[in-house]
Amino acid sequence: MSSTAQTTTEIRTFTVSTPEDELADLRRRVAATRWPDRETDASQGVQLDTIQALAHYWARGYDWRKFEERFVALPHFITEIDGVDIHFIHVRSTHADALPLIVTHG
Amino acid sequence: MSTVETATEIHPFNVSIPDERLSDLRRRITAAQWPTKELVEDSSQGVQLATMQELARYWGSDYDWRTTEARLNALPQFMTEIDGLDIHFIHVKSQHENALPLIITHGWPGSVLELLEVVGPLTDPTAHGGGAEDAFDLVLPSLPGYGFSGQPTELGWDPARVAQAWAELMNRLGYTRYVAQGGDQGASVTDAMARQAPDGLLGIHLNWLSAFPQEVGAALFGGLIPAGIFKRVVITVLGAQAKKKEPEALDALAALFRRGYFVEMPEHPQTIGYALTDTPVGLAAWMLDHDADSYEKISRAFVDDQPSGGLTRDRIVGNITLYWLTNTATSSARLYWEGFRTIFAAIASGEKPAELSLPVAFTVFPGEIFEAPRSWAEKVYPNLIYFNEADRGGHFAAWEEPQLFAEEMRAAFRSLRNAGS
Repeated sequence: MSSTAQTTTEIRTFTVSTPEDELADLRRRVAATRWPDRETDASQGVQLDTIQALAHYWARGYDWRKFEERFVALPHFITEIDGVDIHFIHVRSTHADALPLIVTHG
Repeated sequence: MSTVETATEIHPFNVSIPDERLSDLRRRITAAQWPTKELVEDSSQGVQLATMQELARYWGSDYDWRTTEARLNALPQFMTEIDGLDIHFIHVKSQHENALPLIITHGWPGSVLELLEVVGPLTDPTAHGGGAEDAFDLVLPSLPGYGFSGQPTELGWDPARVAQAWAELMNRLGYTRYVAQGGDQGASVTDAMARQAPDGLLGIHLNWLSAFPQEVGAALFGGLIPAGIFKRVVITVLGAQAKKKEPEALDALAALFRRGYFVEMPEHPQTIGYALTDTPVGLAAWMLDHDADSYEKISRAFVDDQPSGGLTRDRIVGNITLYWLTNTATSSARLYWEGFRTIFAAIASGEKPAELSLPVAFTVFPGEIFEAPRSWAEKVYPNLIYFNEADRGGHFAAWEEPQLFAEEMRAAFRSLRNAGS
């Protein structure tokens, strides 16, 4: 009983390391995109030129490893709360009396 | 002169999809990346994972497009250019003299494939429980942006413009007396045909109410109608009356206007189009999420191998494959954008729809998204010559219950056969 409770309140360090074949699969899927025809009016949603330029950059210009480097440079942790693994970044200030602030994305 | 001749030509058409397109599709189905399972035991979070995985398994390994292609190619298909666009249609003439020409328009997420099983009963009634006097010559066009018809590259192809094209098609085929039928988007087109009342159109049959009485419009769109205080009070009172008289039909109709596809396709067809165009499994899920009744039936066909009438696995996947191979997920969605744009422009301007005096027949199928009350049909169509509530069938009535659907056509149009001759 108490050991379970100890396990679930544990805070473990965490890092990101994406296998190369997952990145290759993503690039392959982006490059193999099948496209619809051009919109007949700009108000019909995301425009073909925009999304094709994005896809082009995503498959050829973008480098996930650069992002991963920046990301793992921060202290990451995982802890289980209410049955779900919660990932968070926790950066302590070097200044005494820093105010703890939790920021939630959308 | 020669241009005109070319443009009204009617060419025979056959479907023949290259093998590599089919293997590309199978590859994409097999490579599908799946979400985790929904957290509920019903369809309240949408199309269920078990249904989609069984559909994908069947689609990727058992289904054969060539059988669907053969069903299409067994019928006389044609292509003709109307209003700048290639229109694909099936045209089956009855062997019986004095057959009544009938043009049936499919809807979304349907195609001419949903109508193939009514061809026999309608054109060859004596082999399907009817008499020679029940015969129809049948014209089944693919909507612009659907199936093998061309995709509009300019604005303005709303149901009214399609209706004008259909009148030209019937004229081009030499029909001087004919009737028209439609459900779903096909009902919007057929309703528009009746309002335009082209020469030769004797009457229509609908299995979807696409036009609403004033009080229903007030309840649905009241907030959009530009109005002063006095008119606003009238709209509110009318809307409340509609709600009191036909609460079930009105609630079901209001729920449709909140449904995902019915919001996204009229608003941003291009945005959803990227997802639907790139992933067959995503396209299939989007097409399955049309209405509760057909989803339940389709889901049963895959998960329990218990099809409802003609809604078999083969036919369901065949229709989805047609959308995939013709790359029409986005262009078909644009018909909603066009149709809503016309409707909201009419609401904003206060313009009333054209008077409709042609005879109208209506069949309510019990599984339909909302069961149109007779009182609504009578108000919208003053010359309502036939109204029947069928005992089975749903949104895809011709597909699910072809024999029953054909019997409705026979009964609905019987009184018009000798009219206006």
